[in-house]
Amino acid sequence: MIDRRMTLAGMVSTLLAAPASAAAPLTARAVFAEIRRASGQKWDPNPTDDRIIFGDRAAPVTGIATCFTASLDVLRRAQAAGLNYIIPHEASFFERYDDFAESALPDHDPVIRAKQAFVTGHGMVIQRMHGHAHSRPGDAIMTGLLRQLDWDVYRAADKPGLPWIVLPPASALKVGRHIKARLARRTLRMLGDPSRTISTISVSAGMPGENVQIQQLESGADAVLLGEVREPEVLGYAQDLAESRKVTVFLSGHTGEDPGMGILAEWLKTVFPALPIQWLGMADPYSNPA
Amino acid sequence: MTGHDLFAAIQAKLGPEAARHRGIDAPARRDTAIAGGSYRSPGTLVDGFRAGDGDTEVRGIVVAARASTAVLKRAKELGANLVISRQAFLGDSQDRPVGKPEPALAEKLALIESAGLMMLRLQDPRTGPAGRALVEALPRAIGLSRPLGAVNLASGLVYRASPTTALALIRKVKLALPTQTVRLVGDPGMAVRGIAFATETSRPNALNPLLSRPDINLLVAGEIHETETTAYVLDCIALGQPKALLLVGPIELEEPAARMLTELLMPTTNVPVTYLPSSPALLDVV
Repeated sequence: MIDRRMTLAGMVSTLLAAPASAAAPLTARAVFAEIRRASGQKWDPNPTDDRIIFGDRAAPVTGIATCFTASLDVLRRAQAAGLNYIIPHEASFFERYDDFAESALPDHDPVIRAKQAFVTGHGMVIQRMHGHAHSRPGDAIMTGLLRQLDWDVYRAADKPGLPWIVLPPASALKVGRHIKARLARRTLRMLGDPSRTISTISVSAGMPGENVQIQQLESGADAVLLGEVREPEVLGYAQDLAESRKVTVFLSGHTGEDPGMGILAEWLKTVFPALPIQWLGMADPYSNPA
Repeated sequence: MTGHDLFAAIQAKLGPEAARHRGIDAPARRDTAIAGGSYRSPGTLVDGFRAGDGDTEVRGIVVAARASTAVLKRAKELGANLVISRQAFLGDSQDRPVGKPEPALAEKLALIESAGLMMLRLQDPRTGPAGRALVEALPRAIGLSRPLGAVNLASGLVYRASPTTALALIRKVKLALPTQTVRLVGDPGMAVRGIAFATETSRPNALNPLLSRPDINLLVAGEIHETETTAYVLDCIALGQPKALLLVGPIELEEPAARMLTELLMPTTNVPVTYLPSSPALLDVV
């Protein structure tokens, strides 16, 4: 028995196998279907809305851009590069699930309207990939972060769960400077004595929740690298913990997840070898002017 | 005067609690949203004794933006037995445990008990002259004295700026707060026309309507949801709008209010009242 999904998958495979000049362009709908199929994952869009968020599903896809968030800057760069299928890790319309009914902004907000107009006007399509990027083998987001930090070789193999990094001992300031440089941060906040020697680091990215981040603080690691935190809860806990033992906290911000979308682009190139595919990285949005 | 007596006197002095309205940045609503509920769920008041025996005679008072364990130790050294915290200090915004187990929290509670401390959370008063003064403490500390418009904090505290730049305002903020680790999204040289203050911690994406107002081009907040508010400011800027966002930290945001509360309490009691900055503080890696 041939079901609809198998038929679609077969069609996509046929299209991919055909010479580029002879094949009709893939539609956004077909690209999304192939991403779901090739991921090998049971696709559940519910937790983080990994679906086509905006754009015409029938639009022919000219190329794919992966990114942390589909900012107007990214959309413009993608359009200039001839890429019209945009895969952001995070939400695109300023509400965590791109839920316009739940957004505090009105539908006619000029920034939302301008972004929608840009996407529509350039035949673009936005498809979010959050949970299914994390659940790629090895967690694409974490893989990208560790690779960007050059820390993948320092990851302890015998520690399951969040990455446990064992670095050659160095001052917290030196490690902080490394993180700042490798992640191209204009600002990197830290808690703790910069001169303290550290070696083991528990790493998380994005916003896994206060509970997880507090467990990192209690893991026994010399230091923790966190993404975005709810400060009264997590930094507050670190403040209190610092009274009973030494604590070092580095805060990379949420965009520490950005390099992981580069890993996703590498994988997509194997799925769509005939399409141009790029990761469009994001500059650190924050500065601390003196 | 017992702790409960003092709390009643403070409430009388600071004016009525908000009428079930937590402003634009309601911590309780934020927690509900984190748990998967609606952003628009009703708020909850948070003030009250969190630990210790409120019937104990007050010997001395310490006021902090957040009663960290370091603050408690210093309070004990000063001989104070009532600690007032603006921010939550025992977990989430309503002082409920966040993670389990939480050894540092257990140690903190043991210290509170062994030192005989009374722990009072005080963040709700925001109406009446004194309550408003607390809410407006940071703007006042940087020279902004008269917010525009109605007293509904859901609209944010909005000020029309004298001709200045974002950088000039940042320098004033750094003088007013015990922190140098602020974060700016936008151009430091931007001419500031209108400033909005989010008066509490973080309210996911509810700050965006404030930023979208044409008469506001700088929002000052403690923390935000990066993928919602930072993303919105970046797109505003990409469209050529002169907008900026300044994040000072939600604990640090309460420091001027804690200082002001200390001054307001001094005439209320004959025991020593001391303001202590919440510590340890964040640093910037340079």
